[in-house]
Amino acid sequence: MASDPPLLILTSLASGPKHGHALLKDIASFAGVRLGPGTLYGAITRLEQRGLIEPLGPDERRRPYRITAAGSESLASSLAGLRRIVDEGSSRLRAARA
Amino acid sequence: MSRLLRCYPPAWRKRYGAELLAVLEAEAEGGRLPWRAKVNVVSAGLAQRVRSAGLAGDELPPESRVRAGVLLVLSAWAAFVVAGLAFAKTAEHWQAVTPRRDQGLAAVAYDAVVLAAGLGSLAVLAGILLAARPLVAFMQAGGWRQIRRPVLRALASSGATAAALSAVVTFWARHLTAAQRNGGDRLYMYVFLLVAAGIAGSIALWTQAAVVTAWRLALARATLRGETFLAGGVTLTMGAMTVAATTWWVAVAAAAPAFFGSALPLRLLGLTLAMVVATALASAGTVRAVRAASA
Repeated sequence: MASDPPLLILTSLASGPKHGHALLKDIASFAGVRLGPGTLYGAITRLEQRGLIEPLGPDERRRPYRITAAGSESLASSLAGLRRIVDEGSSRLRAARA
Repeated sequence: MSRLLRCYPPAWRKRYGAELLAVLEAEAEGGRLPWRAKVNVVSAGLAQRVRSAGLAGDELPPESRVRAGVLLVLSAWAAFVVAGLAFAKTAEHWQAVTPRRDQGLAAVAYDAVVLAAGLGSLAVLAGILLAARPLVAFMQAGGWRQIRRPVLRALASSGATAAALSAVVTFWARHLTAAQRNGGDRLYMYVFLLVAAGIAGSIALWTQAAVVTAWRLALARATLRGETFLAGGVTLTMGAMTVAATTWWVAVAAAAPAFFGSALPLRLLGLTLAMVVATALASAGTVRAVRAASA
């Protein structure tokens, strides 16, 4: 789940609009995951079709994207799910070590 | 680098091509793009083609996904027909070299192939008839202009192939012995392979014309459900033919090993593989159509 491209893109865009290359660099820096350009644009296509991100005006050939309100909600819901798993995993690990 | 973008469907390229190219150039940093990035772009482009055709993902509405599944079955059937024709040619005269007492299983398997081929053809024909009324309505509304190119291409290819086949049979094959026709005359063999390629190409072009046309027809839900049912039937006959053809091959190989020669019968292995792949594609198409129909 932590290497799920749509989740990584939404997380990256949560701090502000970015174009493709900036997304790749940001994701590599905060998640340590190097997405391929094809994987990135496959995820961008689906996120845009679902209305979770939207394109801004082009900056030369680059086009920045920003997260939409629906995208923020979807990200919050995914992170809450992840948090539940992290909490549950941590408590089970503590119990096993005790 | 822009050549890599050809893996994507044209509509996608128009929307995202320039920005993906900008990312690729930035990734290359003035040098060559790493091969891993190239592989990633090619595989993502092909995956996007599959999605755009309605064969994966849920971006397209259920009706389009049903249609995509059914048309995948039709395309797989066309590929199977080509493999089936090659199988029929390979199986020619097998009774003459197999001892009569050992023909039992092979004969049953061969008859099963012929029966399943007939049933599958009937199901495909029924599918075409089911779409006949929407096709007439489409043509009356001026649809011919939209499908003219692929249909004319298919007509030209099949006309040329039929003319070549008639010429070869009338002026050449009739004057050759059976041994010459079955590999003894090299030139005849090459011309025969060329005509066979023409037949395979014509089948592919007619299939393409059918797919292009079918995407443009206004099909009712009930029609799509009927097409899904028939697609399932076609897939079953393909599975039956694959099993029966393999059984025939094994039975003849056991009873009359000389029929396939001493070397590993690569042609039969290739044909069997083609049948298995076509059946697998048809199964995927049927599953896609059934799931979308019940969505």
